Amino acid sequence: MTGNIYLDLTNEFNEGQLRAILSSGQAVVMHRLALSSKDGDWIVRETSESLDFILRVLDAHGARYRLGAPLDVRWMSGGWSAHFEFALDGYRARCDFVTRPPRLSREDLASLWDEQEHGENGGLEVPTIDLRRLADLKKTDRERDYAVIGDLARKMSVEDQLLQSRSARDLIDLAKQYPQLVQKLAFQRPLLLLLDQIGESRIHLQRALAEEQFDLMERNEKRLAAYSRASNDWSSNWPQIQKQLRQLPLIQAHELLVASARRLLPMEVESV
Amino acid sequence: MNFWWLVPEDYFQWRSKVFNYRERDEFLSEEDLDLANLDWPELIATWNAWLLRMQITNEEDEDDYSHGVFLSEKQKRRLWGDDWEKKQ
Repeated sequence: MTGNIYLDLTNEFNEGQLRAILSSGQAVVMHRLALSSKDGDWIVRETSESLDFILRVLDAHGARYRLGAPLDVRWMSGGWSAHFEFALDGYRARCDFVTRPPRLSREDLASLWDEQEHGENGGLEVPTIDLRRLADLKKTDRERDYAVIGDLARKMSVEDQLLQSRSARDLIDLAKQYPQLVQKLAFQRPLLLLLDQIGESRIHLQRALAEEQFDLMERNEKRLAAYSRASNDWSSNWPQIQKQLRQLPLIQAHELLVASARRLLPMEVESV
Repeated sequence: MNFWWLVPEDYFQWRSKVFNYRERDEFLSEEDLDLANLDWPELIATWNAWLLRMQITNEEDEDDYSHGVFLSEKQKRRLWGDDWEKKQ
């Protein structure tokens, strides 16, 4: 036991085998950057065994479903998220799960699991998402997440810094030291091409960074809008569903939730 | 009023050389970044104390989501305006 609720949950989820990788806000803490989130987030393995195991752990803690998708492969594979809450020692613990985190390709996600299985965890105390992928997850519609990316990038390798940095000054310094690497990476991040034309003024690069951020925020908003539309019926019926769920232990509540979701929540979402 | 735009660019280069002054983009606060200086027991203690202190905001964010694809009504209004339902 570490004494921290989210670390202890991570260990419980991973008893016997790797099923859950700590992500988002609490991963930022593990990388020693900032305390900013009260909730726990995990990327979980997309197998029935893993999801059922995690449900049993949550059940043992007296957790309840919040509005969200069932913790079931059929919906999780469609990019949905499942959300739970319970009380422990004065905390309101919230647990959020995805199997298909946004902005990570299937190949990259498979590599993440492979690396974690082989113990390539950057020496962290529990399975935790790495800096680069964490930065990708942070490319949301929230301004404050880009400040986190700014400092996450400073802990990365040179190549990853060039692809993730939010600092014009840092990029200019790196370009002076690694001009050939900048050329190689420019096809992945077009604003790097501006580093050739900077001179002593960074205003154009600063503008390009701001435009890049705006574009990322807008893309995430569109993604959320698609899921919001797709979950309209589900959200409207949630108060009635929740009344029924409250009377049941989590495992039984889950069965009821799945039955309701089959009628009201599409497993796949178009235009995402 | 800010008059730095009147100062020649040379001044900033001179200042950097003479005072070893390095301008740096700031993102998170010094307090945030100070987590790096804590050993493991200190980190756990600080983390737990922060989580406990932040329970005070539970009522305010009762319906909110920090991650995932679901949003509270309040979050939808913040993102898409009061008429968010019509926009969908």
